[in-house]
Amino acid sequence: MEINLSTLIDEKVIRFEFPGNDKNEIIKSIAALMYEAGKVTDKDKYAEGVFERERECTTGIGKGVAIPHCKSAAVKEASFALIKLKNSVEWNSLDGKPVSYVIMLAAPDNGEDEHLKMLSQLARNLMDDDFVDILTHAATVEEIEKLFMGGR
Amino acid sequence: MYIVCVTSCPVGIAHTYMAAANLEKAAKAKGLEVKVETQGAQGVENEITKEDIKRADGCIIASDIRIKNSGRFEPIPTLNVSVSEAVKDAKSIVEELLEAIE
Repeated sequence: MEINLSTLIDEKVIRFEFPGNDKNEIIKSIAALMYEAGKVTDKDKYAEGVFERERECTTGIGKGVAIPHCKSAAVKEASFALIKLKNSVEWNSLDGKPVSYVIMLAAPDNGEDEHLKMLSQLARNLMDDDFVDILTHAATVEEIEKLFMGGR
Repeated sequence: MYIVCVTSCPVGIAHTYMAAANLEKAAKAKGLEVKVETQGAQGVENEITKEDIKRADGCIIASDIRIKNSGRFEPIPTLNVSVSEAVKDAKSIVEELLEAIE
């Protein structure tokens, strides 16, 4: 089953030189970005959900990538932000390394399976070293679209 | 050799599926046949059936929460790990299960 992930790409929530000094600040800024892009209806409530998830277990999955996320009533539609950080930050990652790329996922409480499937497909893709390498080195939205259309 | 796995996490949109992808990859790299059931926000997918369990040599449960219907794995050797461990290093988990079976 191949799912075309590129349909969920939205350049309003893609950044390449994202500022921020620590994990908390970055999560809050990305939540604000997702609010401005119309993905979430309440940025504080969404961010709180993300922090709650962080407390349960780290989302620093290694190789410099973190995937903070939550499922919340404050989420309007299943979406993800792709954020390349200007400076890497400490994230208590599984491999102990700092994080320089953040993929923040948002899932609505009563999400349609189709969209949840896309988020889970993205999560699966992150276990593919080549996919992560291309994503974290991409410098344009077009490169990311091309990667996501590849159906990897 | 045939192994079955179940992955699950509290939110059910990310770790469940990363762990599933990793366990599949690690098992296949060892030349094993593998089936991974995910219990995530989309419910139970790719469910491990009675027939699977009948011919399975072992089971890996990678979860931070109580999985649904865990009793069905009682007949076979089962290794329980956290979902993060499977995201971090599925290879070692598969090796540990293989050692336990042999």
